[in-house]
Amino acid sequence: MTTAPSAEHQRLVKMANQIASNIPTRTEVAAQVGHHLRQFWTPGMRAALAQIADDTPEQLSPEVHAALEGMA
Amino acid sequence: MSVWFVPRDAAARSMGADAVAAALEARGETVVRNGSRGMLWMEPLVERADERHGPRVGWRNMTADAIHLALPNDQSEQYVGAVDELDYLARQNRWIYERVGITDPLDPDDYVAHGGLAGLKNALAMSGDAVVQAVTDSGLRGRGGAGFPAGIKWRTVADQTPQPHAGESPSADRHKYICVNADEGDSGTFADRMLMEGDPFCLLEGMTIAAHAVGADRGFVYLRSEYPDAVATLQAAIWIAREQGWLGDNILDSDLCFDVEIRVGAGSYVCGEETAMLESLEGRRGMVRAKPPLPAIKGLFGTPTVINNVLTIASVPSILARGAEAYAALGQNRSLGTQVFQLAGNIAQGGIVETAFGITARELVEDFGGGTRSGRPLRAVQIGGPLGAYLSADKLDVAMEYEALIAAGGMIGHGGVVLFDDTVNMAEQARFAMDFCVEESCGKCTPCRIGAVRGVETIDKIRAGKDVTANTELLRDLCDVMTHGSLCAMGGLTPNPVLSALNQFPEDFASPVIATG
Amino acid sequence: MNMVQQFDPAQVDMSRDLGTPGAHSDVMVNVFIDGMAVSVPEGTSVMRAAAMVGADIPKLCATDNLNAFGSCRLCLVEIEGRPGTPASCTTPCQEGMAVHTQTPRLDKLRKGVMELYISDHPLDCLTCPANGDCELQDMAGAVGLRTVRYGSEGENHLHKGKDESNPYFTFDASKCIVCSRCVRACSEVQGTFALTIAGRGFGSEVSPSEQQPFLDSECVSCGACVQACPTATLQEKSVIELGVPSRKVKTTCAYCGVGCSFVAELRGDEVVRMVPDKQGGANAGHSCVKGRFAWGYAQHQDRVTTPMVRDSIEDEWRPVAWDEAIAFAAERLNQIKATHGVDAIGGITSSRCTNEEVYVVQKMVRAAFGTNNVDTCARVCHSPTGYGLKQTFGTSAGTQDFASVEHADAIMVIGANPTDAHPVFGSRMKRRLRAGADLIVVDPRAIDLVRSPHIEAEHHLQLLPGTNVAVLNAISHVIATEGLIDEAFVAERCDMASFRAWESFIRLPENSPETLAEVTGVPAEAVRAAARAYATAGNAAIYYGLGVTEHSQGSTMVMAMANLAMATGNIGRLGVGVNPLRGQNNVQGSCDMGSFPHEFVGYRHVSDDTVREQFSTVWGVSLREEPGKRIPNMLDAAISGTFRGIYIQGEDIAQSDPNTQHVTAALKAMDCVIVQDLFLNETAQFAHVFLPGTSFLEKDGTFTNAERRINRVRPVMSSRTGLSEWEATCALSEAMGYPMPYQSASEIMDEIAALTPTFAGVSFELLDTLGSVQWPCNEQAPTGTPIMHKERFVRGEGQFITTPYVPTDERSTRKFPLLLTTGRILSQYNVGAQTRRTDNVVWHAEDVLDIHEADAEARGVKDGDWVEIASRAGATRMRVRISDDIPAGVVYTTFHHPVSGTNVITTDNSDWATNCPEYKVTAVEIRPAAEQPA
Repeated sequence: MTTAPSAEHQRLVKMANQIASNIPTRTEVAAQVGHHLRQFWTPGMRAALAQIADDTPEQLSPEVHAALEGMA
Repeated sequence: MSVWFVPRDAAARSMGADAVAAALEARGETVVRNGSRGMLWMEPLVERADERHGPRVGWRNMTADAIHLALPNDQSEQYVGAVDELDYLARQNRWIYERVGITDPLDPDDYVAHGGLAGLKNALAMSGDAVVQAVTDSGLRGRGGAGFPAGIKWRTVADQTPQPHAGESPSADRHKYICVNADEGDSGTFADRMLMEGDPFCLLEGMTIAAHAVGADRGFVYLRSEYPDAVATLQAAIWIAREQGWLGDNILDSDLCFDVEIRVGAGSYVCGEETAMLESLEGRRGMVRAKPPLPAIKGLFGTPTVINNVLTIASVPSILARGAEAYAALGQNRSLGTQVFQLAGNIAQGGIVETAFGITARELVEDFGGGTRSGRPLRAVQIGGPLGAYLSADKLDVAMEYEALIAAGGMIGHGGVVLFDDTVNMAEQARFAMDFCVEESCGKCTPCRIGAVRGVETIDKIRAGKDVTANTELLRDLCDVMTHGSLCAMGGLTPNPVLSALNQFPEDFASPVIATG
Repeated sequence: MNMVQQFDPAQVDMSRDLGTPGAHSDVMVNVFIDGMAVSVPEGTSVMRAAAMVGADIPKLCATDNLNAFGSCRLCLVEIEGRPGTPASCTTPCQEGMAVHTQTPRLDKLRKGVMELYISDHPLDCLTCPANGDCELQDMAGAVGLRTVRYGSEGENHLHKGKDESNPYFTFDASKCIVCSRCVRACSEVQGTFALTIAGRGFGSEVSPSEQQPFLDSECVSCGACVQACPTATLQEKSVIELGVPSRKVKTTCAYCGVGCSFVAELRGDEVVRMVPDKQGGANAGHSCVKGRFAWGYAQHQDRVTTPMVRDSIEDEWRPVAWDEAIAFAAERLNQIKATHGVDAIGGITSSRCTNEEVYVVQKMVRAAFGTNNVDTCARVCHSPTGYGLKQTFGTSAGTQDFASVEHADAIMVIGANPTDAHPVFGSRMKRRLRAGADLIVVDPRAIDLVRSPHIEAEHHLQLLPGTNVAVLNAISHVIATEGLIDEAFVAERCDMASFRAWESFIRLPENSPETLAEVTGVPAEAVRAAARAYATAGNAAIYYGLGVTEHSQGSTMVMAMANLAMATGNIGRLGVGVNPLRGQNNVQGSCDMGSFPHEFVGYRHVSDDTVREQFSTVWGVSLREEPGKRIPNMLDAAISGTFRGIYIQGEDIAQSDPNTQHVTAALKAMDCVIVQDLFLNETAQFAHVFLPGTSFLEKDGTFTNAERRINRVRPVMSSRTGLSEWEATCALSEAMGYPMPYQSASEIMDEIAALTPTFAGVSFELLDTLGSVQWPCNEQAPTGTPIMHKERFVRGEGQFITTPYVPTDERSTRKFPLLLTTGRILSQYNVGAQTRRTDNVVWHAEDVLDIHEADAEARGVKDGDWVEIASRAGATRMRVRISDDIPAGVVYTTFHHPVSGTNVITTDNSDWATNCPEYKVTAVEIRPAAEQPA
């Protein structure tokens, strides 16, 4: 879609990483992140995040990647 | 070696006692500054004993000038002979004042040598309850004027559990307080002052006994700023008492822990009213609180508090030392023990007379007081302070005790007796009473706040001959509203002098003001 | 006994002034009032008992929200077997007491007292503003005073001047009867102690502070004194100007989340004054300067009352009829929908609006727009509260009613400033603090509560902004390691597995106050002492505000507080709990009403098939099962071009949301921005359609306050715009093809009740009967639920959640070495749209930046200088004030004036779970600036 990372994408990256680092109970973090994304994110936002994970995987923390894999 | 005694009492000092003492010292004499004997017309009354605790002879109205010339001797016309044998003293029965004038007020050894601490020691050997019972049995009533039985008040406080200060958390330290009302504001009264200047340890001992009796841990003496000597003497006594182990932790090696502080008032008469005093002690405007709650239940800072007058508390050591029964054997009817009367005004022999209740006003005025100082006929006596009633000279056979005086339309108040000769204008005195209320009202309740002002105005109208009948009726109505409507005794008692003047001396109101004398 | 009539206490009309406060005792005493037997709780005054049976005793200094004072001496009575004539206000009833309230003797005394009063009072009743509303006048009549024999030439106060300094009320000392009601109200009710009596005797007079004019004194203009004054001495200027009101309407204040009940008093269609309602569940007769006086904005000339449209934001506004505006908006939205899909539009609901207005907006978005792109302004304030409390307790709301604070032994205030932001509740809290509860303040700033008259915080944990979770963890660590956990409560009420996990986490050395002291800036011993005070108090209650939520760990912090309360057993009874202080009047309600993109009314997730099915059926439309966009995501998408139309109900996002540049860019990028508001606000600069809103004085509906209390908002006057807001919303919905044919606000509430288990019992009829009700209100709790989680948590067992401290990205650097935090001031409200349009500006004409002396000195800045404040987001200018309320390294400001541009510098950091913006921490640098910005 877009080449330069848009403000929208930057926010999604920040949000996802922040969720992953802040999920309180630090067990099964990936599952919790996945649950959070399903609960509060629109499908469009989740799809965009998955796209980012493919395009620029280094932007996202391992927990976010794991969460996306778990959701797939 | 002979020892000279020169009172340090403010009344004696005002008559030159300091200079007299200095003059004696300048001559190389040993001088002890004692309290006053209470014969104020003799001050400075200088005494001499051959040894420190030996019998004393005295000289009245001594001056430094006279001493600079020569040491007084028994040929002097001021020589009064053996002081203890003077009729004025010999006829008294001193319990509260047993040491006043005899001891050096700030010498702890002197205090103990003259019976000090005997009451406290006895009390500490008893349970608190037993002390309360002894005070109850003694029949001691409040000397501030209301005459409430001290034992019952103490019992109420003893029955409460200590409380944290209002506004502090429930886990904060809990207290009960002993508050002594030394805001002696009645004109013509000085017994509290002379005791605090003449035997301050007695007051502290009484407070300590009270603390033991009710379980209090802190005490305050609320002392008026007009008494700087009393403040200084009592403060010094507190420091000494702490050093002696008479105040502080484990008093006289007992479990009792109790300490006392002085708070100095700021010149408000109404702060002598107990709830206004509490407000002032708490750092607020001295304004009367409605009761209930009783201070015994919710007093200083919301804790159970004994509030007693100086004379009430100072009666306690001798009661505990000599026994409640002996005390209760004095006096009559429901007025037991002794009262410290204070003779003042237009009087030949003003001063302190401690004697059992029941003495007549006439005995006080004539036998002790020696009639008017002016030598003119006595016209009226005001008993019980500025809010007390006037008694005309023909009604002086009334017994000086709580109930008899009430029956006579008066009150014993704080024991002040003020004389007026026949030059007095009683309408002016009535006006003065209202004006005193204007001056001293705290302003909380309407009858006192506005009523006193209207009282002055209405008396002025009467004295000016304006609608005398209608305004006299209005004055009586106003007195009714003030008596029955006021929040405290300030407004409630102001009508006493006004109505007694109006009723007994209507002629003074009837005519326009005529310059007298 | 059979000779006397026994009085039934149920007949007492509690709206009357019973003279003295009620007594709380289980012991009842029986007294006879003029022969009528009545049974009252021990401690009840004779005056109150008499008033209960209808034997009103004359009184002037007594009123039933103040302790008896006993000064006026009108209320004297005779009691059989007792001497004298005691004052009935200060005489408690005792068993068997026989009281006579009317006797010839009493008549004479009372007349005598009144005669004294009137002898020092101007005889200008006919021209007095209080004529007809004056207790002195009433009492003169009641006692039958006919003449004043003292004449009028005596000493008096009639020459005393008027103090007109306060913008809202006057003080006319010539009319003062020195009853001290104002002084006592200021002390007992408001707790400010600004008023005293100066002088004594006849010279006694009411004195604001040190005999200063009211405006210069410590007075906070709460109005309690004006309310208490029995004469025209303290009188609303509006009453002096307009006259005594002729009709009354009960309604609810529209400022903060306390939700005070008021009686609007009017002449015709004109409000004369707003009087706090004694029976108001939230305020019990008290008020603050905003609710009591600052309602003039409702009629302000800036108000727009006609719909307006424009094709482009470059064009001038074109006033049009409602029909045209609605058609214009509907067409644009439908067009975007057709071109870009339903996800390209959305709406924002307002916490300023009624439940019913919010409900129809979110319904319109979900049903007519066909998307879940609905969010609320609560996103930027209390969204973490909803999230955190739902996770732990199972419901997105505070646990207590306000009255609960009267039973708290320790009160922990975290990131809240109740005396400024929630003043009426602040006063209630202060009353409890003065009565002895311990106070723990967790705040970077020394808020007023830390030291105010007769109150001093036992513990002030002055943490660095952004370290809330660290401090709470340290507190919990102390509790867990010092054996202060309420094991019995936890075992009985909580999920043990979650507790054990939390306990082993919290005991880790990394959570000790000693370890965290460096991060938080709070000495370990202070944390330990505060923790012990909280855990051992008996009843410990937490009250918090936006200083908790508006952080990157806002949600975590809410859960940390919930953990603390559960671990110490401080939940489920009077005097305890976890209590959010809501910023706006209807934050709770707007959240309850399904304003979040992921949930329907009553906090039920859109993916819940059963719930969605229910809504689909009632609404007659299929609903989406996936969450919609939050505000920041809508704005991002707008910049990306995928979000193009928005309906904004009563919120000024261009001013109130963070990173203003980003917000305005997003608004500019949209094709259709619809703003519904009272004023042409900052956001309206970017709008294409302006739908005029209605003020709270015109609304019909309900607000839900911070204690879940649903209060009625009644129309005091007719709508200035011709339509109520919900009607405008429904018209738009219908124009877009989805009719919402409600006949009344009441009908909307009926639909809410039908669809929401926690609201099942709520109806306007019930509210009109009970006055107000706290949800849940349903079959199990027909009169509502003052205290939640009593027997069990809403979610069953309380859930502990471990809360690791994660520092925010926003930290001080060499470039931005100071941390900016923000708050509110008493006289102003949020972005100031209302309060700036009232006389409240006399107290706060501009926002200023508080800075510590050391920081100011280091930058060569003096008190009153203009400075530039720069963050990585932007820069603005303000004047500085040197203050020791904040520690070095922290600066503080309010955000009430748009010119301050506070949000120009706030960043787009936000809470990890809810995207609530991190308003409370912005790294900034300050440098001197030459002059004020243009």
